Amino acid sequence: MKATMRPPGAPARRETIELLVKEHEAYVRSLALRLSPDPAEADDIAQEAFLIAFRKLDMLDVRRDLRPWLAATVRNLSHRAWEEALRNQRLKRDALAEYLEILAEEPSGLYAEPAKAALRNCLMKLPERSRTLLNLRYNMNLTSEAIAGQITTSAEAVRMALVRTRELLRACIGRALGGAGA
Amino acid sequence: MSHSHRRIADLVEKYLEGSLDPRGRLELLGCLKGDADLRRAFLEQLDFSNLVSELYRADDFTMNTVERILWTRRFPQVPGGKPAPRQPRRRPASERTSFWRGWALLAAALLVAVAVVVVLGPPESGPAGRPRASEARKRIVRESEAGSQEERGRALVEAEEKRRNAPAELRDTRAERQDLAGPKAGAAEDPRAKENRGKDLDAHKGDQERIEEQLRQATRPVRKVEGSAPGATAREEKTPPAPAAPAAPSPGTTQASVARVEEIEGEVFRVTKEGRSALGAGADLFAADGLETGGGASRLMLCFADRTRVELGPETALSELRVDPGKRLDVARGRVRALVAKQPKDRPMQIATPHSQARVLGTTLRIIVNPDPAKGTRLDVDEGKVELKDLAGRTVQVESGHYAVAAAGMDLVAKPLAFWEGALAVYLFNEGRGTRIHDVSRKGSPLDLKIEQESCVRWLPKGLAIVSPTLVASVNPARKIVDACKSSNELTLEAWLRPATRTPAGKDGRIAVLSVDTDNQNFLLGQDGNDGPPNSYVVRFRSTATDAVGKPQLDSPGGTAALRLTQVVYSRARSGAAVLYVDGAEVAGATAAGNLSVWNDGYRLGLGNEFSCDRPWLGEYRLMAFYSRALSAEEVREHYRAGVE
Repeated sequence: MKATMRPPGAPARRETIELLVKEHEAYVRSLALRLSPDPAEADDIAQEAFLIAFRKLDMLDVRRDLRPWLAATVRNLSHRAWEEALRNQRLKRDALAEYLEILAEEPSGLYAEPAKAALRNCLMKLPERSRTLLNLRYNMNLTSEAIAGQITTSAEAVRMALVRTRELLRACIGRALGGAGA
Repeated sequence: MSHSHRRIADLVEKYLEGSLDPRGRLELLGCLKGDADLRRAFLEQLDFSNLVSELYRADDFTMNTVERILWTRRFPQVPGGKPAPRQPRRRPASERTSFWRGWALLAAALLVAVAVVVVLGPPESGPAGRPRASEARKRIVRESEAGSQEERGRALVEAEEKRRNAPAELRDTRAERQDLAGPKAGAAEDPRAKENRGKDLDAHKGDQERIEEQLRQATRPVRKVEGSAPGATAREEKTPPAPAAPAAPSPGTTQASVARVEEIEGEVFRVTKEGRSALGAGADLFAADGLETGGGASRLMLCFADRTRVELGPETALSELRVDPGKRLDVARGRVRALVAKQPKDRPMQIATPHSQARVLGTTLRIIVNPDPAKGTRLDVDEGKVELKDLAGRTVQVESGHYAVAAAGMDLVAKPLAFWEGALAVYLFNEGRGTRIHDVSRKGSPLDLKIEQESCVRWLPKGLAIVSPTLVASVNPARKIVDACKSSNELTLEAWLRPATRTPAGKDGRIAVLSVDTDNQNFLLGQDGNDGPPNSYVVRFRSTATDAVGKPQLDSPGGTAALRLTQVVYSRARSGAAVLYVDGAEVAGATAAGNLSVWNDGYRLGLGNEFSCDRPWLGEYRLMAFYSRALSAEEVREHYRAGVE
């Protein structure tokens, strides 16, 4: 779904903003997850990128410029988060993160709408226990330790179960999309 | 799944949830570097995990982002940000010895004293043998003539005062240093005394550095104006006699700094005739400088010589900074908070906006300037008294705890501030519909709450009733509450509520929590705690002296929880004094020792249930407010008297 251009000078309405955020958020969050020093900061960086973009909306052609502009902003914000993390000694020099930063280029096409639709269908086919697990991890945002406490198992078992569940979903999406995309 | 694959999967999963320790990160790095297929698989895992996460949380993210964008437009905030990092000024202890410390102290003291005398010179004309000192003095006099005479005169007086006080302070520090230098000859020294002496010497060194810094500031009141010839120093300039009252100094002249940037965050700019340039912490500000802040979390704190502090929130524009005859800020838009030191009666500080002018003699105030003339300028006064004048020439005295709005078509009157002003997070439950409860505190990023199941709640004209178990929770961790309370080691939680039952089903119902589950909480306010008396309120507050759920808990006496609108307040002071109030009266107290360094940053704020969804509470919420300070008993009573009706 593409957002339409608004007349010059007119303030963006809630609906327009919502459309634009929805259109780009998967891409922006995916990129932020790859680039941020800490996966927990990825959503903050993605949100900040949108805030900055909407402040400068008058200077952008949203149909042409917004995605590259958002990508550049995510890169800058991630870079700043890196500097902050290192300055506060929150992260010592972290070879893994530096390496990942080199690896991280464009995210895959997984943010595309067909993959999301397929995922929704595949999710419904999962066993109840797997759905509960995903709910606790992604909806409640609990760590594997916290989930383990709730479903009385070990944290490692939770992590393995999450990996397997995602593999199931990936295979399901692959089948739904005819072996492409996932 | 082979052992190695299982191990790698475990590392990746830990990485994704943010719990991978440094050793694990190194191990994962080693695996990724040696295996191209694994690298590809890892990145796919990252993207796929994001896709799954998006499916669950996309609505939250979208709504939160949209709300933030709209909020930023309506109410630019002044977040309690972190100070800009400062360069460490002291060398590591390993590079210092007590011998050098002593001598360095004395040498620094002498050098600074000499530097002050050389640069500033005595109040009277110096002797012929000190041409540099007299030249420096002439330079300052020339500058004070070239620019704003009064402003530079005052800068000179302040510098002179610091210079005059410096020898006395240095004498004192020198005497203290001698006392600390060691025991008298022949006297045996107690090892503990020696240790204390070392500490005192360190503290003393800190004082010495502070004095040096003050003196450096006193000797640094001038800058070369942008546009002057590079390479020329202020001392070498030959400034022609200045016109009577120049609007701005001409190139080649020097200008005294009127304030300094203390802290910055985000995008902050100086705006001059030459254009806009980025500002950094520690930068000097000059008369006629304009200032602008960017959006988001951008902010700037500036400090005048008399310690008047002004904070500019995001998207704020200050078109001109003036100090002649008194301080004057021209605020074009945005949000300004000022802590104004006592000003001379004949030279009050003035804050001008497109809709009004405020005259301040010494106070703490906040000004919000909306470009829309119908919304105008809002002035909140926390302390002291401020005179506000609108464009029609009407004036109003705004006293402590009051606010006034100068806007087109509105009466200019002072009204009392809501009692919850200044709270970190405030919920009034007056939305009337939907699943979102707005944080109306105007402090930092709004920490909005989301109702998990709308069918379990009923909106009231002035409140929200939870009629069957559900959870109302913040989407993101309550970082602003955690950070502020950790910093102050204090908290007040104020709730106005009406329980639906005398004893919640299964007991231990959660009115408000900052937690992740029943075993891990920063704090909770509940009704009928497991081990407490019947029909009571309970608070668990975690600190370094409690367990992970904040036990021992504090219970109100049995029977205090009744089925009526009730004010429940818990306050915990830095000293550890914790008090529970019901309807303005103290009903329980304890000492909650320790500090809040053990608080978890990632916990979310929840109402009506625990995050494990097994501690439901049913009843009505009218107001919830969280403060990063301990309210006094009198303040709690005032809030109760003010009420929420």
